[in-house]
Amino acid sequence: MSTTHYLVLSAILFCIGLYGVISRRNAVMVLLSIEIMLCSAGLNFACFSTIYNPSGQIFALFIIVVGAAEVACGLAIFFLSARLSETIDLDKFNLLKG
Amino acid sequence: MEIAFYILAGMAITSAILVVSLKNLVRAILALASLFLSIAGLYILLSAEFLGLVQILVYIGGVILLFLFLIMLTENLFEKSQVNLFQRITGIGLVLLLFGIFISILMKQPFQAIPKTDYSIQEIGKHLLTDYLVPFEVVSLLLLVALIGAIVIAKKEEE
Repeated sequence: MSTTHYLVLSAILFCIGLYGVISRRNAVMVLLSIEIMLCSAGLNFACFSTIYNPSGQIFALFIIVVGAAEVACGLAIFFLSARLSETIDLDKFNLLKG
Repeated sequence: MEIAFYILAGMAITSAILVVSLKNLVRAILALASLFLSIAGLYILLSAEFLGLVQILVYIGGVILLFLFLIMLTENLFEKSQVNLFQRITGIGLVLLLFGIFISILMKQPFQAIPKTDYSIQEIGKHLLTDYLVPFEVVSLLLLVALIGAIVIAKKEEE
């Protein structure tokens, strides 16, 4: 196995996550797709840490922690907005539209 | 060793495609759980065992639980409006363009084999407490802030 295999896999996962963020209308699905992108970034870091030094693994650890914190806050915001309005369609949240 | 990589990579890509294409939210979350599991397996293949186990503990044991609790506590969480076909094809086209840019940059890298590294937990702990002490403390503060913020945001208002 070479680093190129892992990097290509990470690029594929990133692009799939990006497509999920673009095309999903439900806020929770968008959060799921962001998690896919975070996973691919962590895989990239861990792949390069085998060649250089363990800083890559430590950074992937921080990515995991920040991802978990972001999911908690995002779900709290989503929970509140779903309680206050009747719909969860992302297209309908357009109060700031010019 | 190669067959393990291909099995895990196939599982990861299949799970990711399922996450972005399933209509049912619970099934999408379970597909995300299988994606996390396959990424943990890939971390173990890269001899980052501590990272793989932390991934299983924190992501599968924490984040997936959070999502499932959210589904338990709210109703009507399914998608109503769909993207039309033109938007979907444009989205896929843009994503393929970005993937092409990534591949054209990746292929210029030298083809290095993955060496068998041996970063023990001792070494990672030593790095965390000497070189990366400030990010470590900041991350713990971030977790505290996220905890308090999530509670304050989602709290039911007192009458």
